[in-house]
Amino acid sequence: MRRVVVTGMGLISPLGNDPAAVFDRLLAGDSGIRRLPETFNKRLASRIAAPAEFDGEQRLPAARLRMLDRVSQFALAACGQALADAQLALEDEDANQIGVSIGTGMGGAHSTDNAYQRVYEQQSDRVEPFSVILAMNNAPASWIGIEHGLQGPNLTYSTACSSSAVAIGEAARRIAHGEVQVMIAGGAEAPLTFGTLKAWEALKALAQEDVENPAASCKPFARNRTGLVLGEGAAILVLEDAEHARLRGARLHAEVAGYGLATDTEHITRPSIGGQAKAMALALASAGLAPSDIGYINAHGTGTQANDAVETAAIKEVFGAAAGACPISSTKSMHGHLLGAAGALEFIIAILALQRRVVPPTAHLRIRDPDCDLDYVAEGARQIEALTAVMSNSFAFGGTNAVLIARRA
Amino acid sequence: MSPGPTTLEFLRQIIARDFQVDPQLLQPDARLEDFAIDSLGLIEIMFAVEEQFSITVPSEPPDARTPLNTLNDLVRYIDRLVSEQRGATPADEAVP
Repeated sequence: MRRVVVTGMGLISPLGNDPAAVFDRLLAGDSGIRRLPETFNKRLASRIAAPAEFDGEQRLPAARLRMLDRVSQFALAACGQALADAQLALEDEDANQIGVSIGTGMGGAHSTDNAYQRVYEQQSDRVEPFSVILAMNNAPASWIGIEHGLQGPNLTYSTACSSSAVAIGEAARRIAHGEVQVMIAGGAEAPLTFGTLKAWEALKALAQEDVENPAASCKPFARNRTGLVLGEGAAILVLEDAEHARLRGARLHAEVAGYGLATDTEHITRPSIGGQAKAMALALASAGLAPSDIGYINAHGTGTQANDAVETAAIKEVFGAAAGACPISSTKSMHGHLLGAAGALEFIIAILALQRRVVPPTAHLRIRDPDCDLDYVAEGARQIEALTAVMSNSFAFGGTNAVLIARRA
Repeated sequence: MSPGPTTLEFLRQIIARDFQVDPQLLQPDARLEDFAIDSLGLIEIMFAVEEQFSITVPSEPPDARTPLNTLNDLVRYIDRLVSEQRGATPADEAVP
């Protein structure tokens, strides 16, 4: 098995579009969650969301924009950053040895929403000519491949909220097995449409607005948590065969040390202690690490009543006596839930924590829940000099639980 | 059939706008591929044409005897469709 390293990272997020700057905001406990403007739609019960600062029209010519849903725009922008960060000279590489692996829950949700509005609301018989191409789930991955001429496997994973963790884990395996040398892996999601927000509202999963401070509406692990807040963005990593990276003198952010994938079949939405614990245990086993080696967990921590208590119990089951000593945070308290892009964004955050030896807090955790009694770094960012390995949890509707572990390279 | 100036002018307008082409280059014998107008670009143009001329462009491309290589080819094809479909008013199509 070959070692897999991360040599490039890029992201578009509710906290900005540069990994280092986003991480600084997380350390400061700064939230990107806010109330959407009234023009967005007054018919939403809660207009709280975490939008990305991203204007496609400023970045791409009109002729290209007509072919790109917002989700693909995010993916291309984050990929461009990641490739630049990796300083990978694509012209010197074998295009067949570079693949793409992207997770997305909803694909081109804006285009689907627009087409439905035209057909059903406006009673038009005509939708945008490229609606199919705009909305298809594999568009983000495909456009990355086309833009950069990457002819290795081009894959899209859609396992709801674990999509991009799965995309990264599966990509790392392809490299580990010697199938390809480089994979562009991550996720993209652009779910902030009226239709999508309404659908989540119907599921009773969205947080109520914190009227005193809308930015604090998502309160993972707190007793007064009321649900998740949807966010948008993309997070892309360049994964590389360690030997390939060494030969070209690449700078290494981290090693992708472990990946655990476990399916629970108890319920379509209800999280499962067993499924989550199994995914963490498998990730540890694949990394050859003990729980006590993990110096930080970036939790799935959605802020729903169900997830946070179950995740706490699952961590205790796997970590045993080490659970109480492991700092855990849910950065969703600040960037919201990016659904199919969440796993990749949070893996990047975990890697940045590893690199900088400081872990971001769980924001807005003031009122403790007796069912969530671990160390959630509620008081603020914490310096941890001995950090050598970090874990990122991603659990999903449908039961596909995925856990990634990064280790100092 | 001689190219209808209205059709040609309309095509020039939307191609210049949507494909960022200098209108001066959009002469009747100009080749679409020179402006990077591929099969999807053609679909986009036809979408605008359908709205402008109130016609339906068939899904299948015209047969090999009527290729759509140049701007003039396009004008001829659109004019033919307009002429064929003239008289098919919304009232005729209305279902009681």
